[in-house]
Amino acid sequence: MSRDVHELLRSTADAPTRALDTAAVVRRAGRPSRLLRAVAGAGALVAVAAGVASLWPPGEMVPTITAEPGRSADVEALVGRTFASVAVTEDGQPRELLPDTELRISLRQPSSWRTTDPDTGERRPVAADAVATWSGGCNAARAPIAVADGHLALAPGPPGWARAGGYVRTHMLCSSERDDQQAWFSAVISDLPQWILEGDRLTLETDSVTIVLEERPDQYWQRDER
Amino acid sequence: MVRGSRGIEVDEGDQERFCAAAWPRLVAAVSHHCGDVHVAEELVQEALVRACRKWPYVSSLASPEGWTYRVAVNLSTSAWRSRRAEQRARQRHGPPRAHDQPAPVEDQLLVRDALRRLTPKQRDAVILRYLLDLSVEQAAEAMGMTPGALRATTHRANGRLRELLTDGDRGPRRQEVHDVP
Repeated sequence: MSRDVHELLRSTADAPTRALDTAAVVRRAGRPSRLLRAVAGAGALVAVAAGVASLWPPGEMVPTITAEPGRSADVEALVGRTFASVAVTEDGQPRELLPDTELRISLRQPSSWRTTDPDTGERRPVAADAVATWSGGCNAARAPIAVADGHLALAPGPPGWARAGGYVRTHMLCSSERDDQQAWFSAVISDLPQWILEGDRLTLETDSVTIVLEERPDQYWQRDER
Repeated sequence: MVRGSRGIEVDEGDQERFCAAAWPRLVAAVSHHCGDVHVAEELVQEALVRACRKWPYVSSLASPEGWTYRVAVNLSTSAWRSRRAEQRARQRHGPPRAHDQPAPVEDQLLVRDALRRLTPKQRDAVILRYLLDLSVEQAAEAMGMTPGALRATTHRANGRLRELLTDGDRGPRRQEVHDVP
């Protein structure tokens, strides 16, 4: 078969695996560059970091969860399961999620997950009892989970993770509303909720937020992850 | 119309239309350059953000796509940026698995192997000319070369590609490749 360079290059080229949110690209382009934002926020970050450092005991990156004894879910009972939200309340009022979105969380064995230390480039397994992956309708975030004093807590990741709030996340561009909902859900997870598992129903509970989730089949998460 | 970062009015609709049209073409081009479609998506997305940020300048070029391709390639050659793009791609898609993307057909492996054996300039010239369909003048502008130098580079690249894809040390000839005038 005779083909020219043009045709051969085209026929072997990859197509994108996902659609591009063009509005989000344009919106991000309109914001100041990361460097400018970093310079502008450096002073505030230094002040916040100093305040946080003075509150936390040395060597402890994330405080342990403070659930009542016997109420927190056993991490082994959660591993390998995926949950999706069915009810969300905030300050006692139902919180409406954006159309076509839900809150999802999934826990997996950590053994299969290796991560790269952003400071050293070293590949290492994550030291944790499980890895939690969650999505608030836009990106996915991941963090190690560990049992501490009989309760579930976000475990310290590699050193560089402290700068990213203790978890890693994907960087797909989404609408600002979805970004906000994703950030809100990540804040709830980082706020060390109680994890209460009753049958196929998982409840995440903080002082102001209650999220009720129901178990979904394992394939559920993968159906539109890409 | 909105006011851009330098106070120049820009049409966001134009930017969105450009991004939508360029996205599949640039992902195809950059994935040939770097060999991984997921990493290519990360690089192209960042390059498109930069194109929109400099829209008054980029839109005045003979080929905004050519400029954006060069930005994505420059990002990929920055070791730190490339590693970040790969990390984000891996976080999104996990480690490479057989079902992540269609298994590369033999032709794709041959083409990418051949492209890797070209010099960076030859590779970019071939991709700009024959995958993005840029004219000699447009490709030359994107690469910062004169049209004559671009023609010479493309000619040498085609000769090398023909040699690699139709003969070489991998066995029998698989493709017959002709120059495109």
